[in-house]
Amino acid sequence: MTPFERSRGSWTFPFPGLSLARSPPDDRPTFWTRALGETPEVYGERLREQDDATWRAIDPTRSKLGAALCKGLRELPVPPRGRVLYLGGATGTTASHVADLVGRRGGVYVVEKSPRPFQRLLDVARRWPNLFPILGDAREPRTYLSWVPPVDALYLDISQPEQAEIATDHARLFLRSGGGLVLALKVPSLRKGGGRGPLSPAEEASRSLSRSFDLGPSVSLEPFHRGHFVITGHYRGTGREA
Amino acid sequence: MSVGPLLLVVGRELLVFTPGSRQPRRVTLSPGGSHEGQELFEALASLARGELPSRGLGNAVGALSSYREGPPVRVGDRTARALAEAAKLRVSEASSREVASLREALPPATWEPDRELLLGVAAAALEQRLASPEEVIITLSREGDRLQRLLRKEREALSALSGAAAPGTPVSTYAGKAEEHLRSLDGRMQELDRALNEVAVRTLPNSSAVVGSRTAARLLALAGSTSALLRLNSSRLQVLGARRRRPGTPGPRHGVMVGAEGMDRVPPHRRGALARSLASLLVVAVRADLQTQGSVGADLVERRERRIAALAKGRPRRRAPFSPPSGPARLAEPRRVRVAIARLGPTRHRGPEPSDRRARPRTRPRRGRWAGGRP
Repeated sequence: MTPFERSRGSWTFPFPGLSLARSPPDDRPTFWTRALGETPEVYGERLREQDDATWRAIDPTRSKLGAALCKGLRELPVPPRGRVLYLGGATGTTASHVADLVGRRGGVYVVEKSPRPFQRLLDVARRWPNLFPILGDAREPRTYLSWVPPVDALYLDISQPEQAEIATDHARLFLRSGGGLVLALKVPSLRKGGGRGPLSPAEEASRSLSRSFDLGPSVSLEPFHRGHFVITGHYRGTGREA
Repeated sequence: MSVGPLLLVVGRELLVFTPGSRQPRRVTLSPGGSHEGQELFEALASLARGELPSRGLGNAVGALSSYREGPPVRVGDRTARALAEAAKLRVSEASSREVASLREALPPATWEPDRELLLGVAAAALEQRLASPEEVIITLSREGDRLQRLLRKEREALSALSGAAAPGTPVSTYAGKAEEHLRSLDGRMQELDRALNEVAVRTLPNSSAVVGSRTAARLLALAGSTSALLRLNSSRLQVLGARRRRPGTPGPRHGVMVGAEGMDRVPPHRRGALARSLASLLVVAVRADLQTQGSVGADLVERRERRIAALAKGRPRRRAPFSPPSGPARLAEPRRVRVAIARLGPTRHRGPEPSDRRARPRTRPRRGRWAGGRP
């Protein structure tokens, strides 16, 4: 089979309802989201016109979500037309793709702490009808409580040693029971002070997460992002926390 | 025991949940100015940071003052807390569970996204953050470095052009344009230096006196924030901004400190010593600038000048230029043998050939590109 033949094939939609497409070749697929923004390009990604819609390729080296999809993420607990609270939005690369995923009727509330990336994020948010930027610190959820509605999913991409605790805090305040969690875990950021316990930092984080979430298997993002994992899960709800 | 009302801010509304009643009391937040939108955005952005806006949200504060008697109010979010504190109420924080269940019970229409409000508040918050002198210095300093790189490249390009620019050829017309552009860039650089100098001298007076405003600003920009700058010790300050070196070579002597005031008055081989001294003076200066607001600049400058005088008078260069150890044998030599070899002079003591250097295995894995960079 020549590479050319292998690259033929049709696009598939791996998650029903989400505007996420997967294109061949099957061993190295590309994932695409349908752009909602007026000028669709955000970070120099590949674009493709199809039936008067523009599709944007997710660059797996730029986006941890993209890398997780390429590495075979089974489950993406973000409901179509849902509201997502996105912590650690940076310049809006992945956030714009998540906004594409949930579609025009959904909403993505993006929190970013650092003012300089936030400028870029604000530019993207002005073009995306369902992207809402918030300049705030994820360690202080009550500073943006009044602007973020209860949400259906939580996306965390913050490199903090206490990211598991931050996830739980936000779930308690914002996430409905059964709501989804997508968490990009950066192992080098865990436990910076360097205490030595019997568990590895990653195990400790996932153990502390599993107190309030039903977790799926974690996906390693090698070789796109070194030392990173993506963990998905569902919130058990305030009533049934251990 | 009686429980006080619970306050939540949702979008433009303050909701007051009195215990026992299902329906909250609603107060629409309004600064009551002529430019409603912009003022509301700015007020909400400051409230979220826990600061009262200069133009308070008078109506909400007024509505809250009726709860001054009675049990302390419970607040859900930071905005509600700031409002309650402005109304001089006793305040306690409501539990996450209670806040979440109250929020979920609100009618769905409450949560229709208010795009204008969100974008407005975000822009106002960004403006407030970047307007602080610290962020202004960082912005200007980074722009200055960028401009300097650009200027160097433009100058190089122009000198390459000028050789080919015989009068009357298209190249010369183009070179004229390029020269014009370079002059305008020069003007921009001067403008930027002036602006940077002004704000740096105001915010970092002592540090600017010791190393010059441009270097003080660069150090702040590299540290990332005033609090990060305060956490740096003298040895980190000395090498901040230095490039990461190959393992096995001696550490850097200076980073951006090489552009400090007085560096050009000492011989090159004593600049590391001056950088070290300046860094230790700078530690004091930074603390005076950012913590005590003291004025120690004159004293530090005097000490700097004494040090520069001593270094400029200088001793001749005694040591042979550094050569990296080329293997375990060299390292195993006892100190007195190494000293003896060094005394033999530079002819017997050259560094290894470049090919040797590459063949030598790396002692540590290379990690990160910068020695200075971030604390």
